[in-house]
Amino acid sequence: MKYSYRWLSSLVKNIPKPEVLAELLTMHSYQVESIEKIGNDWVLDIDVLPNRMPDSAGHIGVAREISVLIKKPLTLPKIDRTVGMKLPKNILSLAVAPKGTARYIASYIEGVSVKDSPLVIRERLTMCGMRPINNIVDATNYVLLESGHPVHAFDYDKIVGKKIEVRFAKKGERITLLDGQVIILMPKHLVIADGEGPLALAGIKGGSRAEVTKDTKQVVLETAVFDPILIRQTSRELGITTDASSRFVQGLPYAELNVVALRLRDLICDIARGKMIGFSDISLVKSSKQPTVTLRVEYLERLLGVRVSEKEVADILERLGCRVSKKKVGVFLVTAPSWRTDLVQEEDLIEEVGRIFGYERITSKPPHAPLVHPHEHSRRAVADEVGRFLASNGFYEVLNYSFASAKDGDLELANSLTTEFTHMRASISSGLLKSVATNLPYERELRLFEVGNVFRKAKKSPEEKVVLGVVLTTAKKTADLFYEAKGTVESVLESLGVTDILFEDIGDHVVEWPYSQKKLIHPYRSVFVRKDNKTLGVLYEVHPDAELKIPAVIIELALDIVDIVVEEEVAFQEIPKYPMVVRDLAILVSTNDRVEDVTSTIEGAGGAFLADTDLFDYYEGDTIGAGKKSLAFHLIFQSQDRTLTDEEVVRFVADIIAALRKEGWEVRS
Amino acid sequence: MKSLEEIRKEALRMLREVQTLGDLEALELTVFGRKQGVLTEVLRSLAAMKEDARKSLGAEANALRHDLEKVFSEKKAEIVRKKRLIDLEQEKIDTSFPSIRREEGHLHPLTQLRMRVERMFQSLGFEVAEGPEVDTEYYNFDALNVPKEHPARDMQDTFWLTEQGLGEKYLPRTHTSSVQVRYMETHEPPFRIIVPGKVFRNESTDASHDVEFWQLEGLMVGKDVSVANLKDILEIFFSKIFSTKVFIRLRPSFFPFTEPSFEFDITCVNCKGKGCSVCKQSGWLELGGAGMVHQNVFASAGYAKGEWQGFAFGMGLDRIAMMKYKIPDVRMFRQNDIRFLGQF
Repeated sequence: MKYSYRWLSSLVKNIPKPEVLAELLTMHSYQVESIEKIGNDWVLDIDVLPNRMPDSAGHIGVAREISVLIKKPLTLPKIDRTVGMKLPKNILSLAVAPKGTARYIASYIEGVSVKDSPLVIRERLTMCGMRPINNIVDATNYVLLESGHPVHAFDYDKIVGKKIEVRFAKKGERITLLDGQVIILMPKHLVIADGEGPLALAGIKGGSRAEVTKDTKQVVLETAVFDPILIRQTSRELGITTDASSRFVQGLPYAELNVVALRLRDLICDIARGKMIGFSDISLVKSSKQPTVTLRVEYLERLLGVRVSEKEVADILERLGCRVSKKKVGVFLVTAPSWRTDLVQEEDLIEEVGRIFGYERITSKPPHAPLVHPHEHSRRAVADEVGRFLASNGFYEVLNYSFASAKDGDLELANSLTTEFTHMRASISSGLLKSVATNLPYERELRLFEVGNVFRKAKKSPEEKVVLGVVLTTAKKTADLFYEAKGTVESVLESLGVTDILFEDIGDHVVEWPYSQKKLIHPYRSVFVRKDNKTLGVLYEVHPDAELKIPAVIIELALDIVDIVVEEEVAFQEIPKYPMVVRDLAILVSTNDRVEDVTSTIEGAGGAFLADTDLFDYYEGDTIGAGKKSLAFHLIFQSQDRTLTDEEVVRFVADIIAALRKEGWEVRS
Repeated sequence: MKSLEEIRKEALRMLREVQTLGDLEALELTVFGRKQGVLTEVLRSLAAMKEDARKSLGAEANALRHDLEKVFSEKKAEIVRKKRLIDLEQEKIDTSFPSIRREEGHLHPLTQLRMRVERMFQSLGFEVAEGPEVDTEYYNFDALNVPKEHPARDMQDTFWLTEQGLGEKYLPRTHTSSVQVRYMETHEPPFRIIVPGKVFRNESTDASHDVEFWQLEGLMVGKDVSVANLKDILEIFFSKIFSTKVFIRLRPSFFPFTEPSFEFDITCVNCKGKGCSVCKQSGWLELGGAGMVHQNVFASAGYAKGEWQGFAFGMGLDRIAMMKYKIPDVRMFRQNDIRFLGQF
């Protein structure tokens, strides 16, 4: 909000230079966003905090704050407190609905002459970003900028039926606002109406029907406080924010509303030479007396972490306008002034003392706290461990938005900004594929991963899970990429101490959330990753229908499940003392036979000393005939307590060969 | 027959001319050879001499033999050393050739920062806590003393989920403060936690705003946790993160869930507070919001009012990473260009 420096200096004595003032307000009250010199004045753009809007939305409020900070007196405009008679019924009858309005003051002024306002008023309005119109409208805007309180003027002669009602609109009633916009009203909208219909949208904007023009002779002035929640709902729903509505929504004080109304009357009688005939003041809310709050200096010091003398505490609160009385040593009873409706509890007062005292006077102190060992969240630790492992093995970590389009999401946003982000993402793959597309112009051998939450709608509540997603791409389609990914799964899990995992073909099985939808999964190049009947994840080549420009394999691991199977302890196994014996075996099998089956046949027949079976070569081609593949294994024999003899090993191998032949496989030398 | 002195001189002269192990071997034969060795000849002649002459000449000849063997073996070692050096020179390489590196990966810069932040706070005894990214309106707003229909809900523009089929109103959380009451419901003070996490804002994006970013929440509750303690913890944290002594400045602010409330600034890490273009000549950088936990928030968690006190703070990790790495646009963090990611 904009404030004129010269206007402020007319309200408080010995005001500091603009830059110094800005610093002072920023450090103790609210932030001065900018200072702009215009002519012989400066405009301060102040970001008044929401809780300070009720007292500081006008020049008097900010000047009062300055006077507190620099300990100089405030000079308020002189106001004639004589009210005179109530509005006579024959001039104007006034009715205010019991809900939606806290206080409503209307006054009738006759014989105004509409013309330009005096220069000083026009200048001040202009400085604050308002356009001077005529002396009546300018007076209302001037009072707004001075007091922070929105007021309104109606052309009396345009009011139909000599009556003003503050009421809720009838369904379908219309109003044409000052800017020409036509609104069709609903019964939830509060309006100011006459005998014909709505004249103004309460607290938001005036209508054009009773607009003050150069021909206006009599005016009705409105000074009111409306229900902030009601104004807020209407303002938001209709999309209309005005200088008035932005103040009303913060809940304005109304204890001294009559002062604002009289100031407006004075100003109009002065600059438009009118005469007030009647003044009606209707209060619908009971006494707005400020609560008395107990303030313990000991608590103040404990909360701020600094010593403040009782004298200084009382002095600051009194400067702020509070009534302060000492209950006993170290305890005050404090009543805030009418304009500070935000000071209702002890901590509010502590904040006031703290900021005026100066937060820069609070020096850092290490806290006293028990020496605790912070609990470590194991799933978080697993996620970080995996990330570090992958990053040290050539993978780049990406970070995608948690939002996705309708096809990749299940939980829908009610107010999304774009068509790209209408849902929370249901799988980790949608982002990974986006990251692949981003980088394809520079790199075709991508190794990327992301750890993040994925979402779905469960029974009556959303559900989210943490998933690790890894994607590998290569320029030319090859099965090797799948095997590299398989090795990645194994080494990631091994790095966490998880061994003995199984890979099972997905085939016709259902793939459930949190993993990707099956349409993304290649039906013949895809497996579940399992451990002890738990599914830890899936591993698959991306289905060609996904129309990715490059072959890609994706791994998805549900980290909360992985966390369950992680074993903390790794037990030492003795390093073999005796030499191992290696024999090689080449086996000719059908292309449909699975390596896993061959390996398990070998291991089933190899005996206790067969320590490992290693596939080291694989061949498919003309020399061995169509429909066949050749698999070459290292067979590693090892005993923990002696050196194996040649004869023994020959016997073990013979057993293996026999078992393989029994399965119908041909063993080559 | 040559005298011992002649032999010595001759042998040392010839030794000086020796270049190779072959030369040395030939010289050894000339001197010590069993058949024609000049020294062997002298020793052999001893047999024909009288006893005292034999004794003295014998001793001299043996001394000479000893001396010559020593210098010969030194010469041999020198030749071997020279030859090794020549051999090694053959293996000389151009050390300016490009290095061969194992393909390395990279953690996202925000992950690196988060891990560092967590380590730092854990060393001060803070626990790392977390909560759901999609949370209820209750934990995100109501429990934090944000009244229904209060304009404070406008301060953070919120995404909402459609309510179809859901029991209550849910939203992608607008701040990690949503974890405060969740944590307090299951823990008794005193405690200290940080909550690093993703948060979401429904606003138009630019170089310093995005619809999603990482936030760091801090919460410390005890019997006498104060504003002075808040300043201390923030000072330690930022001094470590920016590897330079940093001071904290608190300014008045307003949040429904803290009272008093602050904006906090740190001394500009670029100019150390002198004033530069980064801090717009102010010497200070705006970093986040903080305050003393509102008693109504404690009440939401089921604590008796006035029983506990503590501080809370919140800041954007993206913003800190931008400052630390001098990244000009927050959106780069989620574009996932490997030419960007590979720099960290």
